[in-house]
Amino acid sequence: MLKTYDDDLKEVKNSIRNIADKVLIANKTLFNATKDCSEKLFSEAKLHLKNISSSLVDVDNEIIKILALHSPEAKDLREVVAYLKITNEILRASSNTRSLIRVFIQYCEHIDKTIINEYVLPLQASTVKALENTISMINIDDIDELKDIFHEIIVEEDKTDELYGMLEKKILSELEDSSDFERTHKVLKAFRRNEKIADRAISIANLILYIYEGGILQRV
Amino acid sequence: MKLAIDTKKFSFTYPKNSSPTLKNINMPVYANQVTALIGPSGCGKSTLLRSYNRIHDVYPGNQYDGKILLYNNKGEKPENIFDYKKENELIKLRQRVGMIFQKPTPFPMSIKDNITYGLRLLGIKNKTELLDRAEIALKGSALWEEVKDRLNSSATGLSGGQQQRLCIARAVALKPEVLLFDEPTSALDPISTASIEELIIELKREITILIVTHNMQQASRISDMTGFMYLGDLVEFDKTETIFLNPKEKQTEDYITGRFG
Repeated sequence: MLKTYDDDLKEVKNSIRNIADKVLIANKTLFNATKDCSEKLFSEAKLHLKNISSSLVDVDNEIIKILALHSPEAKDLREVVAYLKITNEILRASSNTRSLIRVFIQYCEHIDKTIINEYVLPLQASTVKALENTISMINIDDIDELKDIFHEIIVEEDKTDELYGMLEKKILSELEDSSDFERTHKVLKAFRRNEKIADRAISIANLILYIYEGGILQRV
Repeated sequence: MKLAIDTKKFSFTYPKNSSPTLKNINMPVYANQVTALIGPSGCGKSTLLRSYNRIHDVYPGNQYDGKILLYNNKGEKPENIFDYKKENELIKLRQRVGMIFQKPTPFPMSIKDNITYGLRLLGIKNKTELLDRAEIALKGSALWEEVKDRLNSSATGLSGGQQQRLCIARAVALKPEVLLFDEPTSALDPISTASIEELIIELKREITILIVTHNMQQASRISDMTGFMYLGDLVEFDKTETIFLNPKEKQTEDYITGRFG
């Protein structure tokens, strides 16, 4: 492929990395904000997600341009297609994070401190770890290293599943009054977003593996 | 964007033809850009390309209408190339607007002499200057490393891709302002094609490039502007990105997507 193709693809890759980093920073900030329900930090976390959607549309347009002008084949084609799908996964991770922040801003003070420390923070920590590992894969091209990181992400994603299950059980067992049901439902729905963000991290990691390993696109 | 060439209401008729092959073409060629001409066989793209250095005039009886304005990089008033009447004016035009053909056309002489031949015709006699200019041209055409140890060997011993790069170096040595490429890679394998494409992208820093190609992917890969021609008309001319992503004319879209006919 021509240098112009490599340069264009590098730019797309860098943009994806930068945008994914913003989602990661938002989740890290959310983690810190949750520790003491800091309204200031929640707002800061929200700020990191500003304009992500339009930035991703720009990247998608760049990718379409590359497809139209360079007609990539084989690994080049897999890479471009993977990036096009990764932008969608980042968008979903970003909107999940945004929903999570919104509910925290509204209900954080009402959530038992013990629940936050024992369940919510570990759940968020696993989400952050899964995202962090996935983003680190973007700039790695050694397949063995990528596979190792992929397994670490699977471990973190499993943790989010288990922690969410435990959290749900705990919250529901302590539900005393049916008047709390609506709030509890909203909070649980929000916590579930952590699990979904970790799912997105797995999907992105899987797409990065697809670039190097080939085969067929598949669900993890 | 600065203009290198401006084609205004240009029509061209071959000798003994009753109707024009090119009809009322209006097309700018921007400086230091690669402009690609695409279209089905017989649409007139090579005829248009060859008009830019009046190579048709090698044979008499052609009829030109309209103007082709050639700009220089000093910002002076452009010249209409059809105002050139004398032989030396046409030679000068072909120095300013060089041409690379489909099949490599090395002269049956050494690699070095292939490059210096045109320079000698220009009156350069100093051997050191000739060698220096040859080295610069070969480096500029990404051939130096491959031939530096056999400059006195015959150019016909080079591979097809190397011969084509030698022809480019020969043209580059004359310091042209514009280079016309008429399907320069259609006789080459994919590796040689890639090296010529890389070279074209490099050359556009110094030289304005016009290329005729049947290879749609080549046009999309290397050009900045693209013109689609059909039956002697310039159907659409725009940024390459627009032509290949959002063409305005249905004919262009049909041709690019292979639904033409």
